[in-house]
Amino acid sequence: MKRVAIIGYAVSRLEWDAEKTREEAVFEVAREAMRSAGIEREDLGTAISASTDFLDGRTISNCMLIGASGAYLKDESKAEEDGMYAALYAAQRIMSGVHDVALAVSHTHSWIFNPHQVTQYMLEPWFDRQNELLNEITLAALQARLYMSRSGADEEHLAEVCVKNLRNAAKNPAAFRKMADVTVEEVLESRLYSSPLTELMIAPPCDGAAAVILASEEAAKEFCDDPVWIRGIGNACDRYLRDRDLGRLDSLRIAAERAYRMAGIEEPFRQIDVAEVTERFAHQEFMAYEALGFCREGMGKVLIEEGMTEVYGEIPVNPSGGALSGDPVCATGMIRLIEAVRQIRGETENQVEECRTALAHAQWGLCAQKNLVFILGDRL
Amino acid sequence: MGLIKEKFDKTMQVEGEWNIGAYRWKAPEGYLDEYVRNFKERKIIGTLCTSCGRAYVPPREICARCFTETTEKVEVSQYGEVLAFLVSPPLEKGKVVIAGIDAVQAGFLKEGERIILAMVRFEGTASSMVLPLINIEPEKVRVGMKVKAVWAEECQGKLADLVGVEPAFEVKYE
Amino acid sequence: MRRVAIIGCGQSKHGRRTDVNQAELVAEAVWAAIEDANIGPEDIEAYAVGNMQGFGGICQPDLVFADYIAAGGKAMQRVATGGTVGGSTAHLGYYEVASGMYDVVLAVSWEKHTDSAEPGATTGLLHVAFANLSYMMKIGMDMRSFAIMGLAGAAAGISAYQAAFYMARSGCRIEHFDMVAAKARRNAAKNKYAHLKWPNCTPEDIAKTEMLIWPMRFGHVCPASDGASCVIYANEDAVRRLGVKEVAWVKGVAAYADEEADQGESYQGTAVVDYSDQTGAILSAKKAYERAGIKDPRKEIDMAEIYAPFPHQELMFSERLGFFDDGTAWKAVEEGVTEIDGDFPICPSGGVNTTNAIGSSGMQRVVEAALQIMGKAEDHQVPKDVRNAVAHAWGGQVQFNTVMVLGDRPKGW
Repeated sequence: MKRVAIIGYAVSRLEWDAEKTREEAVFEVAREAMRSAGIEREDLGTAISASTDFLDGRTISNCMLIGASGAYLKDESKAEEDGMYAALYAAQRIMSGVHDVALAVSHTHSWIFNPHQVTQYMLEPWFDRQNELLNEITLAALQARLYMSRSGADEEHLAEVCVKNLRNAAKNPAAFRKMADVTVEEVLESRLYSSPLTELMIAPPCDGAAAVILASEEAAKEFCDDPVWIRGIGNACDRYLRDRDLGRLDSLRIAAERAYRMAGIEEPFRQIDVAEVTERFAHQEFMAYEALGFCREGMGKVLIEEGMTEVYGEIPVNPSGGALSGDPVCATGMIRLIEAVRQIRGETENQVEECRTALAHAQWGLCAQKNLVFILGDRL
Repeated sequence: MGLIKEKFDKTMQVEGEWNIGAYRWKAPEGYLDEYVRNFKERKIIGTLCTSCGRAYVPPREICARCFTETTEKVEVSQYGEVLAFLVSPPLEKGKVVIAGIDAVQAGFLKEGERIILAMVRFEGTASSMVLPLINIEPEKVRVGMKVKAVWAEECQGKLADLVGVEPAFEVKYE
Repeated sequence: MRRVAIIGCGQSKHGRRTDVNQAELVAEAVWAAIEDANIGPEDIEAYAVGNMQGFGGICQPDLVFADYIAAGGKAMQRVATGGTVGGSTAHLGYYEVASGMYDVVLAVSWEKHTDSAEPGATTGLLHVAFANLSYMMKIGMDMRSFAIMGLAGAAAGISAYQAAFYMARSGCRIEHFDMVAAKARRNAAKNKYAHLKWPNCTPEDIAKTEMLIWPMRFGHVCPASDGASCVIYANEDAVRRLGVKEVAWVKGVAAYADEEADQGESYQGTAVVDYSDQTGAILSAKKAYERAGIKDPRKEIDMAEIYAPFPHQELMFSERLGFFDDGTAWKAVEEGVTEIDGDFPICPSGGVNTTNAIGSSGMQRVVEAALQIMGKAEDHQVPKDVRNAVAHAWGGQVQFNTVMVLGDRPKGW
């Protein structure tokens, strides 16, 4: 297995109704990522894009983006899920030894079509979709209730997660929802979507794009002075809604175990310096703490109570603001990956001190059915 | 077969639709608006990639080959050549139904007419465009023949102003 | 580089499958492959899945029926690339094993066209162009132009243009398309999984069908089928550990994309002046052969499964993939070279022209090529000894190509 490093990245500003087309958004991040890695398009071996047909409203959503993503006459493919899966596929292509330098690019313009409506089409069409009450938000509310009754966390704990992330986001120039002075009361009093979830507890869909450049060991050393190495990868998919334990993220636990094994991590709480997780809904951050092994089951709320996951805490989570600060659906996970890279390189606004090992997590599907974990390090 | 023990001829059916009407796609500002605006003066405008020299018609923002933005506008020739062509059979009612509308019945297309679709490259451009080829019998069309743009009698700066292409010279074939 | 083999293949029966739903259809192929490889579902470590979700109307259908294919708790990755999706899924499965992350990977792709209420699943196809059409209406396209565009679109989309380009380039005639279509239907009659079967079909039979738009007849057009295809990959050690006897080795893969033909996003122009040029296919083939260590494709490769929903594509791609010189494939067809018992059989399974379940089609080419190498293709097994075979898929706006070279021995033996 060949080693893979991330040598360049680019993120667009997250905004609503961005004044650019899909093509422009993808072109900008792809070009910027190549520039930051110090490579030309000629150096690219392969390009993987991530977008979905339903969100873009186009069958074969990547077919008109070949020029913009720099994939013209390149070994090319598309992951129809979160951008981090595109990065995973790109990494696999490098690990196999077929390619040396890869571009992974993802984008979503949520303005085009409400992503929460798309999730209705994710429902199994024979029974669940007939029930008009079911959609991503109500199902997440159901999941939140399940988690709360199991762990004893209450609405205020959920609100505290939002406060932490939205305050972190205030320093992040790319973030979409920033609230430097938000309080628990404000979160709880914002518009109720589906009890217990209020507006600020739900990741706000927005427009955005992101790109990363991955390279093999030899290529990374040639192009880059401070490559960030992918030390571990774990990927797992859960069963469908009705067939799984909705109150736990079992697939994330399995994915994390695989990634830790690959990276040689035994005590995640101590060995990981920072984690960037995709919490589409506030309670999913607690569930991620537990599934990632940062605390024992049901103890997620203690981490928040004690401030351990603040930027200055023992295990900072989402110093960038996480998905709650802006959710360009397909790019969300890839932005987490990029924020983890920036932490290791020491380039962020909310810098964690002595950050050497970082974790990035992406989720996909209803109630985080699919989960992907990357462990990044400043050395092999 | 591992899972399905019992065989049924038909599954149950439930209805549903993909609500395509709700999408709000974004299109590039400036490029194509200018393209159709120039139709009013009966001009065809394209963009030029200054790196490889290809002229794109209709205009394109990004040159895939050079991975650069194409910022320069150029006016291109109204003369071109036929690269390939399709010929429809004589049109009948009920044959061309688009978005639930019978195009012949609604009068968009004439009954019995044969439409020639030509893939045309205007001189000096790097693009091929699909345009109706008019004022010629289908039997006389040849690959490589020279054609010129045909404009509507009154051009309003719309896509429809460019009606199609017609032979640039009188065609004489046996 | 890791050596990767196909250890099991499965297909559902293709056709109008009103007896199953999407989940059951996929399970049919997956369990057939698991039985074929003689392993258990617990041996599979990761999944590669793909279909075009617009046709079946479920967003991320693989998540809905993860349980049907025993994917709960396992790694799953998804691709979607238009017509190539089957080929792209096959490539993804290959890379998952080749990367060293997993030893045994199952790749499945499928399509259920009859779930779409409109015949021929036009919903999914229309959505390729719907955004562009909306924009063109906005900048003043009249209804006549709209109807004229639909004329060719209704026949076969952009492929009719491509057929015209190919004819202009190669000098072949419609009769050659008839010959290829007739061959496909005859071959399909020998394949128990195929959709359109027509034993003893002759070019004259095809010539009698209605002309949709010159040069494309009704008899040239592929059907809209339901179906799923599946392969299981394993690395060298796993092949030994699982005790699999019959395998087909993956020697090289490549998927190079060309620029979209016809029009770019929102009616922008593209620099494609010949749709039958297919630089992407030429480059994909060149790279795949290079990775497979093949120098002379015509001599070293014994048969090919080409993704050809329309007959001109079988001719065109057999040239682009290096089996015949540019513009000469129709002469080979005249001589019967590409028949099942010919010197270079192409699509002995009947190909996409007789069975097109979009997602499944690309994967089916891989399955059929592997079956020919393993000698398990039953009635449509080619008589000649097959040592190397090529599986090709095509999609997008005539721009995506995937090429996989399979062999009876791994590269370098």
